[in-house]
Amino acid sequence: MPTNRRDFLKTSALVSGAVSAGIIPQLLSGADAPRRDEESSVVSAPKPLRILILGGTGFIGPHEVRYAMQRGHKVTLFNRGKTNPGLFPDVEKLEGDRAVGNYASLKGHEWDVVIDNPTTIPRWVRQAGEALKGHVKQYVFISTISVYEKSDQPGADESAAVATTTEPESEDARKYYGALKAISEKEAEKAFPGRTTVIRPGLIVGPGDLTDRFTYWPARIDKGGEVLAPGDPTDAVQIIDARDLAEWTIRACEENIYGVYNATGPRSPLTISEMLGGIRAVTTSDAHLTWVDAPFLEENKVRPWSDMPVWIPGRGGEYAGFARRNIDKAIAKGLTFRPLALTAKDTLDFYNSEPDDRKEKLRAGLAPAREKEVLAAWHAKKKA
Amino acid sequence: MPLSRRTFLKTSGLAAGALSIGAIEHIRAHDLSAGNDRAGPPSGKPLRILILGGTGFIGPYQVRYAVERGHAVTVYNRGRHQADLPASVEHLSGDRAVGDYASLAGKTWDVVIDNSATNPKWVTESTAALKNSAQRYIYVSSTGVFYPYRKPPIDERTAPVLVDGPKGDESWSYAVAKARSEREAESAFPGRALIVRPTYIVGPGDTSDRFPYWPQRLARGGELFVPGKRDDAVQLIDVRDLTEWMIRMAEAGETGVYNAAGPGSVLRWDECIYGMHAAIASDVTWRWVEDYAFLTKYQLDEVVPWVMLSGENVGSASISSAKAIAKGLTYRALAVTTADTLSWWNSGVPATRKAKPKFLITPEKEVEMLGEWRRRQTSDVRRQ
Repeated sequence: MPTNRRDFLKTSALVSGAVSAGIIPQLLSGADAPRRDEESSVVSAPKPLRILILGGTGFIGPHEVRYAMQRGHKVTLFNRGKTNPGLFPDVEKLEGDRAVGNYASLKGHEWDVVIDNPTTIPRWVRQAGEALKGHVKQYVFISTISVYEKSDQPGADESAAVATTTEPESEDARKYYGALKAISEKEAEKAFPGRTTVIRPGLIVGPGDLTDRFTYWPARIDKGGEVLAPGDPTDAVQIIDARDLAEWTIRACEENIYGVYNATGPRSPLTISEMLGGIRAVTTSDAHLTWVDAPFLEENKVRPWSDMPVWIPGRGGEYAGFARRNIDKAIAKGLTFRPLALTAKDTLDFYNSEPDDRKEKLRAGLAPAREKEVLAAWHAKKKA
Repeated sequence: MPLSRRTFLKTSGLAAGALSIGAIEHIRAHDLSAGNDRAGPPSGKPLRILILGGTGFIGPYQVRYAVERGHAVTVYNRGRHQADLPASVEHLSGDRAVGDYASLAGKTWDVVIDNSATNPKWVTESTAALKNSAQRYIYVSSTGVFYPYRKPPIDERTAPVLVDGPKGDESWSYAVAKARSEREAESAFPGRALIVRPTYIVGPGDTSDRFPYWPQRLARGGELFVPGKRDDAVQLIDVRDLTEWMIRMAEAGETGVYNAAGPGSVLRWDECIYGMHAAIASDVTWRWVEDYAFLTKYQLDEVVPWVMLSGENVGSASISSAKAIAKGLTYRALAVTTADTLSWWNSGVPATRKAKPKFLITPEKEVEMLGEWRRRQTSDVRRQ
């Protein structure tokens, strides 16, 4: 007992010391400096791969690059060189522009695997496939959970019907997002039959997310005060930490996992109250949640997903299965999930590291004044 | 599959920086040092502090924090409990049960902290022994003085009931004993006494198995019986938040009466348990049993921090600590408390204690209740 206790006390003293010294790993801003504990604990893959990443400088790309390098793989980036060009000074870079089908820089190179991150347009995949056929063994296409035609069935798996369009040659990614992604999947499979991995992520969250959807919640709860929480506390949500997605993507390369996979999380079904409770648990603000039901929110023009990010009131309707996609297949192939608290904390740290003007103008979520207004109306209604 | 599964487990365990592989992946506290506002260095001169007790749950934290901040600490107790205290600490022996304070004679202190009295007679005698040799007297009372908690919200203006209650109501006799002890401290040290009333104290080193039940149970995962209504309020305080604040209050020479419950804003039971779970990556199927009558049948009127909010306990989790917060009481993130408690339970608690934990819900009882609840009704299980 004394020994154990002493050890424990020593440990906790060190932990407190680390806290007061402010040793909190800063993600993203130091793109070349991943969390120290992860860096030191990731072991090399049994066999190093040559990995070509199309894109690689957006949200999930950098997480793929970091993890791939930690695992001992050799990474090449192919992009226009416009987004975050200084991100990975030591990584081989090839320039090209998929919008105009310019893949010349890839000529004469060979890779074990290519990961195609940034594409919605089938032509881009077709052309990349043509350029890489015979020079790459595996094609990993990052698709989306939005490929599905319908979201009304909870538990629907990868066999569910995907969206289609009568304008398959359209390059309007906004209008035909799901359908074009679905066609792109097929282009990949056409070019690399039996050697394609199609990953369909749900809402990707975590440090580096520029959409602010999940980020809204840690930022909002950390600010404190009365927080508008949407709908029924048991409403379903699904999210995936960008790092869980990126790390599994790299492991899918290592293990030559082929086929189509939904990739969202977590493993056991999550509800909006679990998500918000988990986020609150990493903050020390004086936040408290006020749950406002879906009909009242609708009446007051508070929109699901955009104003109340991550949340869609789905029970029984066309969105009943929106946040209940079946992910058994990916889990069986090794998809893992960080604890929610870690995702929440790292996202909060990321948000706090952003410039003030960015922090004040989140790209998703209810504006503070609107939130106040809606809460006041809700309390007035409750009193009446 | 076996091979790739093994590879995956190895990979994911390491990748997540987890302490162990499988269900029990929890976060290390330094990952979650969410904004713990650490106090600056003490501004006044070092204090000479006498701690009555000092070797239980909260005592060692007070001692270490005080020593860290440059104070000279003496502990007075029977010398029966081992505690890992800094070498500079002076030890005096005595037994309060027989009013033996001889070892204190001839010494003086700036502050006395009385951790160990529930019996007013002890305080009468200790204050008699110390009133001319100590400047101030800090008595650790309890929010339990407010029992019966009938009219929430409860703050320091709410008067404890000092008259004896119904025979056999232990909460009532505890309340009266603590409240009378407070009075003894105040009458011996008029204007020089500080009364601190903590709610359930939790965290690593807990000498009770009340709160540790939840982290270890959550880590085990599976079908989990949760007693209580989702929107029942709960209150608790991390032992470190309490003790560090007390030492800072001693430094500031504060006197008066302070409630010390946490967190600083309303916390629902669902948010609380979800928050604890967010720090632990286990798979849980929640079985909320909100039916108080059912719980009463199984003698579950509290599983700390949850308390059945009925009868004399209606206001038990509605204690205001605004006064203490205004004087610098801060709260660690719940995820930190949970992760630290689990880490301590796993590696700092002797096997003999863990072999026979005093949990109100044993695994057998949980199975029995789940079965009975399922037979009774299934409408209240989490709706998906």
